[in-house]
Amino acid sequence: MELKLIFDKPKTMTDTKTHYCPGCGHGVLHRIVAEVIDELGIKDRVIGIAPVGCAVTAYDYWDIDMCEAAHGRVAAVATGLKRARPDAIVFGYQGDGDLAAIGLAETIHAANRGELITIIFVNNATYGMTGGQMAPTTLVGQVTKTSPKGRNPNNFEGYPLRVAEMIAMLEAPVYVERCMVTSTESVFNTKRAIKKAFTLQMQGKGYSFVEVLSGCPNEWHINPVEANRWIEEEMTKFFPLGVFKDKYPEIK
Amino acid sequence: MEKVLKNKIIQTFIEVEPERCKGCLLCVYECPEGVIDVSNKFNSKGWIYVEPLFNEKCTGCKKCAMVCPDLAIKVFLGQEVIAGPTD
Repeated sequence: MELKLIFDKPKTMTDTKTHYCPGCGHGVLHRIVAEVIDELGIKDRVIGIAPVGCAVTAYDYWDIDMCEAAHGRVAAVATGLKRARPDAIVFGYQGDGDLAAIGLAETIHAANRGELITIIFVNNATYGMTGGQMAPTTLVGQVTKTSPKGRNPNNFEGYPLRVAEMIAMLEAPVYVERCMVTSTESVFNTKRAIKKAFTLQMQGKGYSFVEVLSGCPNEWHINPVEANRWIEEEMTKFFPLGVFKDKYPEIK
Repeated sequence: MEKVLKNKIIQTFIEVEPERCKGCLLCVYECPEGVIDVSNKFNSKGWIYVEPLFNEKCTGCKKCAMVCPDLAIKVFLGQEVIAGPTD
């Protein structure tokens, strides 16, 4: 019998085992990005920027040129890289503590200038690496280490930041979408979105931003299957999925 | 699953790499055919890993591999041409 391997890890992923907790969305998202890079054939000229957070050692898992930015400064580093090397495809990979808290200024201004970069924003509604503290994207009522009674807006703790909507409000970005990685269908959808974001950058159209809702079962203190259900049922109520801005709907 | 299509036998099955698996069980719940189940063994990191215990039911839909965060699952397709009516 002739055997054919019909699903294997993409070539852009290295053999290193990831350090992520069981059920973490980072692993799936790493694979999606690697598959997109393989399919577009840009492995030799893509430069990724790793954030501070759980994905801090992402350079061990992708077999591409990577750069590490200080906390929150991915958009600034990406701007410099892209301006110095206009032929390179530059993408940033950031979590919510990195992008939505300390790096919000860099992110907003890079988006507002319309830099030719792609930002992938992983939103898991908590600070995963530092031990599950309250993040800017923590939902109202969600219990974390620093909000033991649940996030309470009446106690000056505020509301979750909808970063994708904020970016979409600006004039310069060309593509803003929010998706998730909880099931096969959503994984396919996320892959389509990330592929489009890379394609727009390759064609020199402008700034593209993809927000991905991802699970953090370890810090939410639930099991991975429940975590995915929680994203689908609770998180998507406040963070609706969909395309918020698309200046080039004809490009796939 | 082994399936005879006119003059072809098609067989699909999966393999799980025990050292990569962390036992998150996402694949167990995602598989529509119930191919994968938890084993009672530990890998070197101390995780209980999953095994394709009912590989004969696999249809090769790749759903398990799509949701696996640890790239532990490989999907195989085997084909063999046998004597029989041609297409």
